[in-house]
Amino acid sequence: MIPERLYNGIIWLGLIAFGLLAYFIDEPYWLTLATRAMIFAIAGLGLNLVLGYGGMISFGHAAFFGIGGYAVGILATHAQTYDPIFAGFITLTGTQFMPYTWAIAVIAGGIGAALIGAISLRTQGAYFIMITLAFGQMFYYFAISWPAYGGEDGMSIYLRGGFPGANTLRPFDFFWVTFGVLTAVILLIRTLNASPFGLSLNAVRQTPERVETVGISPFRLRMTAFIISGMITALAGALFADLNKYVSPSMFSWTISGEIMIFVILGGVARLMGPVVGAIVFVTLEELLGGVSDHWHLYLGILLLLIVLFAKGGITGALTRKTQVQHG
Amino acid sequence: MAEPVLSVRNISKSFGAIHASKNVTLDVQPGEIHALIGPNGAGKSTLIKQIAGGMKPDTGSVHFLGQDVTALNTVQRARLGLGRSFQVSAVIPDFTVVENITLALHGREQSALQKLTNAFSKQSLIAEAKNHATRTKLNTRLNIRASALAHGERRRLEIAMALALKPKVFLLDEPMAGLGNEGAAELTTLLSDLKREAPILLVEHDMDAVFALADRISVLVYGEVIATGTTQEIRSNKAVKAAYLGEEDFA
Repeated sequence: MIPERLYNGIIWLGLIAFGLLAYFIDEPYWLTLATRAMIFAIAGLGLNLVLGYGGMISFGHAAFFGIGGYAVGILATHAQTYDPIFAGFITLTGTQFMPYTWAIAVIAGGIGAALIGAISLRTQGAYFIMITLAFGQMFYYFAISWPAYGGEDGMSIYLRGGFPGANTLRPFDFFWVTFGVLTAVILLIRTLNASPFGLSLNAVRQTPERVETVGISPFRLRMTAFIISGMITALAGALFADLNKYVSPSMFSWTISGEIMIFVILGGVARLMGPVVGAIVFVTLEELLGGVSDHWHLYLGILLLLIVLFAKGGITGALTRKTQVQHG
Repeated sequence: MAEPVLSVRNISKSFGAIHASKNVTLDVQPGEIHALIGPNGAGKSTLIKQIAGGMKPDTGSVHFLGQDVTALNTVQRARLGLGRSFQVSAVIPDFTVVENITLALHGREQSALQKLTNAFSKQSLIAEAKNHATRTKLNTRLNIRASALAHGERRRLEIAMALALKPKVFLLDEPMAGLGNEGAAELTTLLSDLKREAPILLVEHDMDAVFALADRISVLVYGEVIATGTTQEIRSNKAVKAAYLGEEDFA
């Protein structure tokens, strides 16, 4: 058992070390794998805000992952064909400049979350799970039946988006770009959780009627968390599209929602680095066991079962002791 | 009489054939403790909910500081200055005493959706939280989680959180519930001190406490206020005696 802050630092530095190691022993595939894990980690960090801190079990986060992916895919398609997205009183063209595509993905994810949240946050418990799942599936079927952007086949992105000062086509560069985003998201979650907003969100998970009585609206708290969460997961979807250079309706499928949830539960619900650890373990198992057996999900399932039964707080909970802060 | 801080006017509420509130009218004057008593099932909890905002009356209205608040929800009424405590302690179990009180302070300051600073970085806020803990005799338990507190301590934390809101009126729902004699006596002292800050509507089962504290008492039976008056008037009221017949040592 080590203090959680030390553990967090080790994970973060471990990613840096891994990136450098893979580079020096010339294993670009390792870098791509690690990049994949970090992108999943970002999606999981987004979900953890609502599921872990806010206590809202969203089974529809694939919607935001897909929205982010499609934002990048659509912008790239138009950039590649020089066909403007909208031509009228103003002309909107496609772009493959990552800061722009990220911004648009994040805004689209936020709008999507506001719409889904406005309806689903009026329900609780099992109903909330089902309604978020239903929204995810709605997006999935919509993407399948949208011929303008590939329908069932999805869209290919021929060239990965660009980032100033980096050649994103090199796995090493894309690794660091993703690492930078991951770090920013971790810091954002940490700041949010330590703020009065985070305090109230953690309170609303436990005793919403008390939060109401001190004059804070539980609905507004949940809604704010849900929108920020959707934005973060959409950003992960945007990176995922550029990583694979391909976007398809499967990004919206409920299995993605389930996988994002697995990252969180495996690594540790409501623990800062939980989703990061969960995503790393998931991708490692997928790689190691996936090569041995097509049925690797069986082993993942057993691991998940053990964690849920014996390690409250996931892997992070099993390895760390929570830092009890003394206020005064 | 002065303008009442809180007034409930002709409130009725039914659930099917059950009339939980029947034309209830009562008010809380500045500086007083107005106790609401009544046998089990008299409709005290339903009335409290309608005053706090968790339930809308079928007819009638609730006025707070001269404003009709019948249409407002719990959050809006809390912001206007209604400081409520719960019958069954509803503190945040995983939070420590300081964290619980600080949450209430952030509620009062409306900083939950506005500031991205650390929730515990403002020294004056933490000092105030400790101050409220001291008043409720929780100053030695500052960093203990609410779930690990003794029952009586959790009751006092409820009061501390209501206190932190600097309310215009306290709405205390059976604060003595489950306390022993000693605990109840301690809380009685605290409440008599509290009324100097804001008037109190005290819903209470503990008759000793009610008769020791209350300036006025209203008696609720089957959803109806059968009497309102001073302690003396209530003691000698025949209807009240009849309603409480069988319940030992009334008055």
